Amino acid sequence: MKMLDRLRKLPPYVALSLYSLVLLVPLFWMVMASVKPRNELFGKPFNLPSVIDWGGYQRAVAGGLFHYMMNSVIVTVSAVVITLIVGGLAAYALARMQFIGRNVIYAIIIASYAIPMHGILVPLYDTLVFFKLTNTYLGMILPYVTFGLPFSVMILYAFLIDFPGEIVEAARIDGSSEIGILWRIVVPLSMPAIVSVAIFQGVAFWNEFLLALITISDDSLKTIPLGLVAFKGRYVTDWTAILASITITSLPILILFIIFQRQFIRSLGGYGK
Amino acid sequence: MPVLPYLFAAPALVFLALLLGYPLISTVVYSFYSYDIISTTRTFVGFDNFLQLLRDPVAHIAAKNAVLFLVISVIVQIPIGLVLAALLDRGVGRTASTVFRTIIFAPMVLSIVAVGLLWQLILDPFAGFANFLVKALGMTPPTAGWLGDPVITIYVIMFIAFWQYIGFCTILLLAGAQRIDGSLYEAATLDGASEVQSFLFITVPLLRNTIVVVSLLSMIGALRVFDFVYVLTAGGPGDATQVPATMIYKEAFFLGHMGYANAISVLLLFVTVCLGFLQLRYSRQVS
Repeated sequence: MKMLDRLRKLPPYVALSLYSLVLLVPLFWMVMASVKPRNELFGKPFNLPSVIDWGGYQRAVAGGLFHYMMNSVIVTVSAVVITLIVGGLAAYALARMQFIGRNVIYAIIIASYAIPMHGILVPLYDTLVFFKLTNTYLGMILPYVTFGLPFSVMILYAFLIDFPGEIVEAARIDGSSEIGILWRIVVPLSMPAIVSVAIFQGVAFWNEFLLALITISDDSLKTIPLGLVAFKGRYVTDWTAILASITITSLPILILFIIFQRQFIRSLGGYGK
Repeated sequence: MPVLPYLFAAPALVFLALLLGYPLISTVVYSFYSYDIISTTRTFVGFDNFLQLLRDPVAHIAAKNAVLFLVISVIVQIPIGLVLAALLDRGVGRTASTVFRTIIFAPMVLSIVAVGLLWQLILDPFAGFANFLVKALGMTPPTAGWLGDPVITIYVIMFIAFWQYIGFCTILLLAGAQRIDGSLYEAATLDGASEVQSFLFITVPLLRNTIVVVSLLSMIGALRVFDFVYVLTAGGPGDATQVPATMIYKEAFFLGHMGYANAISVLLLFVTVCLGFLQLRYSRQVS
């Protein structure tokens, strides 16, 4: 009887395991093939490498991979911090303050959420040229902030609207300034929403490609996605170097994801709390 | 009159006005003009750009691919996502659920460019394993290559996009499934309903609104596809895998037809914005 019960519970595990294989096999193959000696790459794709060959990694690093990663860190961190400050201030005003035009401003921000970047690509490029922002970090950071704002404001607004007003009132009676209340009370208590926005936008900015592609041509400013494409152009058929560069650049974010998977899933699913 | 709220909202509005609002209006206005990337003068051409869209065979391909992508995204991703969500919710234990959820979601944090390059290698007839698997199953891989065939390549691109993003649909549907009252399932089991019947007659109907939202999100995502096509085929072979976003990029930054690129953008904006508003409306109903 017990045996039968166990058997009945088996199909879901089998189905999910099979589906997981479809996702995991390409990723394992990537890591395995990236350390194969070049002549072993062809013919038997699933054979383990006879020796671990780090040559692909050496060529990838020599090609400036860490430089691309550095650029991605600079652009992503700056854009996330600015998005949080600018979006947080706006969300706080909209959720916690009464003023004329509040609903209009909220509607404008929400409506911008529906505009995709490639829908306004040409004039956006013209604007960046006008402000002399092409081939600069800011040329990526400022548009990223802009396109990150609507969603960030929505998440932070939804969190702040439920924020306990008594705490803020008490601090106000104690004579704290609005900025003081914001920094010492609201920000620490809003950490779940802030982390959620940071992860969601961080992943989006880290991986963004289209805007970087039209804004940056200077190799020393390229972020990881652009760098990978440049590698593909330069190394053409040096598969192990290309696989090595995909592996190195994917690992940091995969490791972060596995450590913080609960926060990631909540955040990328679009939930603030 | 308090100044503070306006000061707080001002930076966000400045960003949106300069880098979203102004370009948005310009896109619409300059879709009626003809100009290239370096020209200082812009010629008013009325509806010419839009009329050209009707005649342009590449635009027809891009439109067809966009519709295919949009429709197939929904009919493939939603059912698979629903089944995965139901299995994660009720089919396996808590620890297993967390492990599987992590795996199912993992491809989403990778960059599309990395995923695209990886699959390019997997599909390579010499270095990759796709042909190896297909031959092991007794089938013949396409002679022009997975990414060089004018008919099947667009579906290969879709497959790769779904490979990366079904996890997204799954997580949203799972969040909805977890809100369903467990006593409904218990009552159904007492009445002799099988797990499959519970799924079909409890989970799916009660998730109706979530399914609508996730479908709309998939459609919007399908209309935004750029990175996959750019990395995997650059729109080729010929123009067989062009989608609206790659066509805008090509017309504007390769051929210098900025006005024409704006006209494509306007059409695409119109469709995306409509879907976006529907999504916001239904999202409100869900939460």
